[in-house]
Amino acid sequence: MTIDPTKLVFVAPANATAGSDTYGGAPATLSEMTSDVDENEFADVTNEQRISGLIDYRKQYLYNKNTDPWVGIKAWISENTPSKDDEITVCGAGRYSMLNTATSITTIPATHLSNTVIQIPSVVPINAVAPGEHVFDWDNDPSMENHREVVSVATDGSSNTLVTISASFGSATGTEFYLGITPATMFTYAEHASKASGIYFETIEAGGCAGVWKRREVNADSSGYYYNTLKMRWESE
Amino acid sequence: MVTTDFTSLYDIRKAGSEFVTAYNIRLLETFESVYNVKPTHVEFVSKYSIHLCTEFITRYTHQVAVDFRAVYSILIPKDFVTIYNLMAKKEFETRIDHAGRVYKEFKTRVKSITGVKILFEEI
Repeated sequence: MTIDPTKLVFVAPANATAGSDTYGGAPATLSEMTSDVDENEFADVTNEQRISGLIDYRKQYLYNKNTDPWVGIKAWISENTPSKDDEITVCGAGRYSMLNTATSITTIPATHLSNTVIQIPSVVPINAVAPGEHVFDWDNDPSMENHREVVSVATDGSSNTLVTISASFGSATGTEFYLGITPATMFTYAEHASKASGIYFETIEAGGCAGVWKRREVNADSSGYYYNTLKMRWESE
Repeated sequence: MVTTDFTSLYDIRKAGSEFVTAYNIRLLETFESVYNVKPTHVEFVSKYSIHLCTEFITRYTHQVAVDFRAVYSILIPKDFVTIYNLMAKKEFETRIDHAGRVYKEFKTRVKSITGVKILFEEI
């Protein structure tokens, strides 16, 4: 398997209207993003936002345009912002999650294999959900009271996705249900400042994507900072 | 091992007197002469010293857009940005020159500036 890094491109989500409740969703593979260009992902912080403080979010996908899958990948923040007044934290992003709207994988029901392992049939592409996202039982817990963090995502020998969650939903093992995904504002964000602590993706299939959510927090009354940067690295083992 | 990076880039914009008063015509002149660069876009707030406004306008009005109406902002080449960011971190010390004028001098040498003493005069 050969992976050409020039065929690993970064793309925006289908709904790229910042601040929209349904911002996010699936990858828009034609909306390529250019690294190291002003306002290529986050908009500039306005003077008013600098004074009041700001929290906002962006979703980004890595799109594998190679003809082979890219396997065993870690994504992490290799250089957080040089400004002392803001910080970006990240978590994984599946293809369904949206900024401020709960959603579900309605293609096919998921199954509890155990208290903390959920199987999503192979008809749903891998990376439908990602570590750090929060999921819930769409059928039996519509208020999302028992939402759980996704700890890891893997595949079994039949290309089904196995999602390990932090604790049980309380549903019986073997039951089927539609898997819900909470709004991105409820996810677990962390700095993931090294490869060792990076977000792990088992596979990005040929023509497939894996994503991250980025949460930017600008302190109120912060100093100005021009050419503020955030560098994320994606690397296979 | 395969690696790819993505760098997000944005500004935390600051308008107002702190930025304005830390800047002065002498700094810009120094940079211009050393690096042969000029600001690309200059705007002023009305409370900006009329004397200094006049100097800026005289100097730049034929080269750059000038707008008195807007809140102060300045879009500048990267060398200026480096200086601005050091200013934002307040990593400078107060000094007094032989004539008794008060200056701000950076604690950290700016990598791209060699052989030039950069001073910020308090206005």
